[in-house]
Amino acid sequence: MKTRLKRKKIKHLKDNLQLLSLAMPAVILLALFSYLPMFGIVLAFKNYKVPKGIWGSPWAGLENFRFFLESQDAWRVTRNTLGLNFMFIIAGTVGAVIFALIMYEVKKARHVKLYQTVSILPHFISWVAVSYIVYALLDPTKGIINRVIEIFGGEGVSWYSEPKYWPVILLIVSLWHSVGYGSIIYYASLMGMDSGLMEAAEIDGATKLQRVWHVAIPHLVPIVIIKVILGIGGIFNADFGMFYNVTRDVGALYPTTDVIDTYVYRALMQQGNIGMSSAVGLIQSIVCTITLVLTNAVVKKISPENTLF
Amino acid sequence: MAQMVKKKRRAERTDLWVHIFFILFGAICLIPFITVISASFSTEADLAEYGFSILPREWDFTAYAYLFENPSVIIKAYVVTIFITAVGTFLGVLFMSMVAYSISNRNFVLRKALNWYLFFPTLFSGGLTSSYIVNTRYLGLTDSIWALILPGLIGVFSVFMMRTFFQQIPDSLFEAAKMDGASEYMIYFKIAIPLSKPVLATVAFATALGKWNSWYSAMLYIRDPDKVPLQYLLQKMMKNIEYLLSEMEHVPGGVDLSQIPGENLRMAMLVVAIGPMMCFFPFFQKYFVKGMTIGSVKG
Amino acid sequence: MRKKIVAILMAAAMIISMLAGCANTETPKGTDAQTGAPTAGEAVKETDKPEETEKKPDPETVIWWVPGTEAEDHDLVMEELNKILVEKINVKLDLVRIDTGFADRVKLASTSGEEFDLVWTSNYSNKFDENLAREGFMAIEDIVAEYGQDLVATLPEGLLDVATVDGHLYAIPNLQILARQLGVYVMKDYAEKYNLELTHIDDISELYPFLDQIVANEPNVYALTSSGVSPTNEAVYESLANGAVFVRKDDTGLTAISNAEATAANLRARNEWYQRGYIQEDIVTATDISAGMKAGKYVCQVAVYKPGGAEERSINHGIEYICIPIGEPYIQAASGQETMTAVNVNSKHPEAAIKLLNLLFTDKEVFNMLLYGIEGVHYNKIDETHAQKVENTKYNYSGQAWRLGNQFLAYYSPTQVDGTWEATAEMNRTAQVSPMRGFVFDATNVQAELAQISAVTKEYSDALAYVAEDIEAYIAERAAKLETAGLSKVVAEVQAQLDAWKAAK
Repeated sequence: MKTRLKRKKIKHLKDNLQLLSLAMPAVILLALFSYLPMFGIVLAFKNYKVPKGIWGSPWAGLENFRFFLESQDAWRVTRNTLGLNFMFIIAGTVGAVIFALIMYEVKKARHVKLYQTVSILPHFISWVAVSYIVYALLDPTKGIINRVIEIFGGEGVSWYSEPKYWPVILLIVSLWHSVGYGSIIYYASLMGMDSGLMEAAEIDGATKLQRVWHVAIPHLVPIVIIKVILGIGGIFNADFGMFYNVTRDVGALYPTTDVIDTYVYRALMQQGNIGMSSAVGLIQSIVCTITLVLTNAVVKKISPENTLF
Repeated sequence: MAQMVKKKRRAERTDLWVHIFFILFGAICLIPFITVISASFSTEADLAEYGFSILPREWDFTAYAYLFENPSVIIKAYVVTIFITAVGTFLGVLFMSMVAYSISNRNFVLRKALNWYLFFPTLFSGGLTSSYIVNTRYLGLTDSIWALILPGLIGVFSVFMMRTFFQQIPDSLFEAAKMDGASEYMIYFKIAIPLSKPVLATVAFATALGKWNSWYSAMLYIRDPDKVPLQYLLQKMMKNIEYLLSEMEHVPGGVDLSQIPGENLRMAMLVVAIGPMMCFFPFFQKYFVKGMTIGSVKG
Repeated sequence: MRKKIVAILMAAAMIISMLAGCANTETPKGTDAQTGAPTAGEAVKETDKPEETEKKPDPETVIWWVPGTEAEDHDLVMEELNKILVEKINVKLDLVRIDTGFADRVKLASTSGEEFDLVWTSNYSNKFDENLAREGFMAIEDIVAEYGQDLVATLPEGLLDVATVDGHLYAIPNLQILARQLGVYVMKDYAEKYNLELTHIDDISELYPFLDQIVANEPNVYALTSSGVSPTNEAVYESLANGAVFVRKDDTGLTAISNAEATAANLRARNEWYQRGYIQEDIVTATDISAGMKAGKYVCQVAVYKPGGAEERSINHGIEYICIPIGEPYIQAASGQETMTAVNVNSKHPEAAIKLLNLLFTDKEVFNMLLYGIEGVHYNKIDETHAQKVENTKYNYSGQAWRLGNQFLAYYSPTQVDGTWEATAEMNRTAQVSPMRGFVFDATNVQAELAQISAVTKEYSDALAYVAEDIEAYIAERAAKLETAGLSKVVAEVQAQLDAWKAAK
């Protein structure tokens, strides 16, 4: 009896060691490239001087944070960052899931391949190029959208001077750019789903919608939750490329499109202080952590087995 | 009988809508892309005058001629990029799946700890400066091709995706293997991996795409012109434009504008960069697009 | 128990990381191998010495970082050049051309202790004041006094002051056009078509009759572009502190004026130009006008003026231009800061570096080799002052003379007009000099405010001023935002420093 227990314990230990060894390469890589450089966080609190190095430089307290925290625009860019990102995460996830579900309905593999390949094309177009395309549509004088409006008897809109339209415009652009590519992971997950369940449901007389709701969606929930949580963990970091390029950095649009990353870029362009940029990074990290912990707690209440931790 | 016919017709009608949806969506994805390609085949003057269009007003190959002026340089860049993409993807998928497997296993005592360990760096980062210091002074990666492969190899998103997939494999399979005395290694290789081809292919493509497009690390660490990856080469041309443009204000008398590539060149760069990845995609795609008949495992 | 172990491990990871960073205090060993070199005391004096019979100490290599693209034959030319350099001053040059992200690379290099000795700096890129703020440059007044005497002799009076702060010299300004003057480059065809007779103007409004004709008769071109330069501002003011503060050019009392106040006229002018149809309609979203310039769409381009500028621009664009200078040449407080060479604070070979610069500022043969390459291979010397680069040459840095030393030593290339150097030197000599010449603003106390101001000025850009429907409201709004960003504080700081500087003279 005792030996059986002992053997079990040894097997247990052996398994754990094996698992640990499987994890080691990743652990080492992260240790070297992510953890080791973390000392850089201290730069946010330092008034860096080259001859003294990072550690010898004088402390700056919270001075480096001033330009951002005291800025009249701090609230605006924070609100924009949070609001827009949150909208993108939700809409993007919902869009990608729906896209994958619809793709699932396509019967022939070669059709799927074709549609999928085409749908990921936008993802590959750099934001600079996307800005040209958007401009071709929204140019007040020659743009396609305005011309269509005029054909229908309306009056063209001066898109690049009206901030109120841009959250929607950016949303559409963001969806166009990401939905195809983002749906791949969900589609892949659906591929791994036991189709027998779907067939059984069909036989039981469930409508398509019911089948989707009760079989496919639950299967996707774990992945969706992880993606959403991870997305929210990065909610304070905006995709600089999109916000800067698609809006062509037009000042009139800042009220709704200026995010933390574009603001910092603009502010530090003239005075590129190492301490200040570190400070902003730290602020972003801290807020991301807070939102993440909150989200994880919310998820725990709803569906405990799917939390990140 | 009537019921069956009705069902079939309804099914066909849904099929029709599905196809219409994808054709429409495909159009709004394809048209901009075609516009970009056509811009790369246009003359700069036409682009300045008339903007973008579906077909070039006048077919012109100067952009590509400029890019491939030095074919040996571009070819070398392709070789470098292919190398770092291939190695990076292979190692990345391997290491990431290994750690994903370990944290998906409920018997692993360090599971929770590793979850945290993996996730923490996505929140807090030391920043560029300290990364640079670590990479150049402590890891000796200056001018090394590994500087383009190793940092950022472990993508936490991907690891957690894979973890979820592994968790969705029925326990019965694992237990059966365990009873047969299989080690964790064997379970990983023989069971988890084969059953997860969709997610592995997805992650592999994402990793490959990331490595293919990366240029910033090259800018920081690579000095040897023989180790320049493709995207960096293209970015250099692009940054040169921006630099020359900003110089125009400060350099009295103006800059030699013939040195500033036009829109057509930028679009050509895009095509040259994207093209290969689009060609690779089907190769990955076949792993996560199967006919409807294949389910995974019946309990 | 397990949790404890984990916590300890993570703490250990963090601590190790801290310690790793700790090691980065002293100047570390570089990644490049250096040929060992004796210190200044033993260095060979740089005169034309005949062959030494005693063994010379190993030459020091000076690493010099400059923005730009590396030529194909870069190494080849360096090798040849170094033979001469070693012979003359026992120094080798390793010129490193950084083609992307220059300022970032320099910042990272100095933070991580990478080796370099000389580095290009200016007031707009790899900024001088930014580098000073983090003490990245070495104080070189003593070394220059000892090894750079010839260099100093070539510089006009007071030029070194623009790189001197608190009595310490931190960079050597390169010698080139110093006086600043704006000009309007007009496409020659249009100038002739509409009989444009002006040869000099004081304000853009003098061009209005001509511009009106363009607007009326030439619908396919844009009459005027003035991106990045403001003739209205520059007619009256010079700027400090990244454009946050202005001082009237003729004000010996040195009164600091806020950007909001000073630049109102500029914004109004731009608004007027747009109303009159001179400016392209999509000015707000146009990010890159170079394509339009090449296509000949901009009839008048306001830009920096220099002798021979019109000819050079004509050749570069492939379109003929004439240039109408605006106002008078003026040497600003910090004119000369546009291109300078500084010594890395951690440099191990500062003396060798200064000796090198000393040579480049005075030795025509050496300097031109650096610019043009090897005679016969990369260029052909036409006479003592002219050179022509070989077709498809694999080395040509002649366009970079203004980054590398004494522009006036360079051979003329075919795009340059004879006598340009003399005319430029003349312009430098006769220009009006700023009453605050030599004053360098120290921004350390107002970094946060400057960052915020920078954000606001970019938001309320000149481009938006063009299209503003109510320009006065726009100006007021902009002023209010600048005020909230701390503009008054900056103005006060500048005034205080100006007063102190004036008193100290």
